[in-house]
Amino acid sequence: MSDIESRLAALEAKEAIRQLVARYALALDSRNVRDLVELFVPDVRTGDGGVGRDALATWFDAVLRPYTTTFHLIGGHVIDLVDDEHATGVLYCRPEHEVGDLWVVMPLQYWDRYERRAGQWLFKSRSVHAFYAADVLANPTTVPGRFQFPGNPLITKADLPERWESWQRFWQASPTA
Amino acid sequence: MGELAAVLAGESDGMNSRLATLEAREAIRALPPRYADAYARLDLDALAALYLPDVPLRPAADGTAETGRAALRDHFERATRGATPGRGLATVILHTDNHVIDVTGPDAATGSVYCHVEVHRRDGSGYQQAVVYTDRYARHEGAWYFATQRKHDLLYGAAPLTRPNALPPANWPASQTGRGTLPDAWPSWREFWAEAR
Repeated sequence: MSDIESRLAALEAKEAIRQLVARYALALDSRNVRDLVELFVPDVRTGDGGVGRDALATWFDAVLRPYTTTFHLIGGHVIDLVDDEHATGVLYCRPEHEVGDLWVVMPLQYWDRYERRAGQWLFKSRSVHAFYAADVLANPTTVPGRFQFPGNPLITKADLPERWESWQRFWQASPTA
Repeated sequence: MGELAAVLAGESDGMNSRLATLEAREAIRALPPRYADAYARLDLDALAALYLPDVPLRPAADGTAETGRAALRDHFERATRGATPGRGLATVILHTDNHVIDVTGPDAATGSVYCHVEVHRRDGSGYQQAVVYTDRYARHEGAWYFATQRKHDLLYGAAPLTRPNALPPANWPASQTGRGTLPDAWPSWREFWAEAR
């Protein structure tokens, strides 16, 4: 493979991965579970120990029912290509969820692994790391645990920024202020 | 011969066309933020210039359908100026992302774009909205344009510090606030909830 071709392939990979995360949000918000699971590798592992897209569809079904309207507006996307078949990513998202009488905003990062299978970039895995979850009328800093999302079976706490080691080191070095 | 020239001459039209596809996608990706910027500036000529010169407009209530940028500019004029004093638009923030692009031919593509809207009118009223645009794009004389008026599907519009949950239907564009046609208008949404679990 020529240098030019590998540079072109890297740009194509990033473009395909950018499309992947946008298609995920649209499939999720439209509850198109069939399209959603097709974005994952065929041997995807589910959070409850299952394997494969059918198992993932079953897993998603339970995860997606405790709230109604959702709107997953995405943003900054860091994509790091590991090799021709593997990449990692961090994606910002500011989803809104209708949860009964609440309208819950949950700014978060996705921590993604992507793999290319048969020429197509797919999710290997994705994990969700929330900064907070709070009703649109609430002040997030006064919400207990910064987390107000009743009945969410998947995300049960806000783990950022505390989860970042650099954040911990920063405040351990000079704990005042 | 330089490296690029050697590659292009020898290795293929294949790479040339792959590069052209990336360039097309990049040009198409710029259209929604250009639309947002022109809208915010209230530069209606720039806004209309993002469309094909002979863009067909949606038919009016009486069934007649106009075409072209001048007619489209009139449409935007009505939407931004407001029907009564004070109702015109002051601040327009169209924060777009989630751009799905499907290139369907050498000169044609379709797309879907999410938008978080925040508008302040000149009388101090305002609203926020969640919108999904569905677009058609076309290449004309080497540049990409919106090929039709953008299909605008509202999830909700709400005044600041208002929960959308209990709002009545907006029937957009009759009202900027209220529940939108989405998510119910997505067939997959209705199928998902029809399947009892």
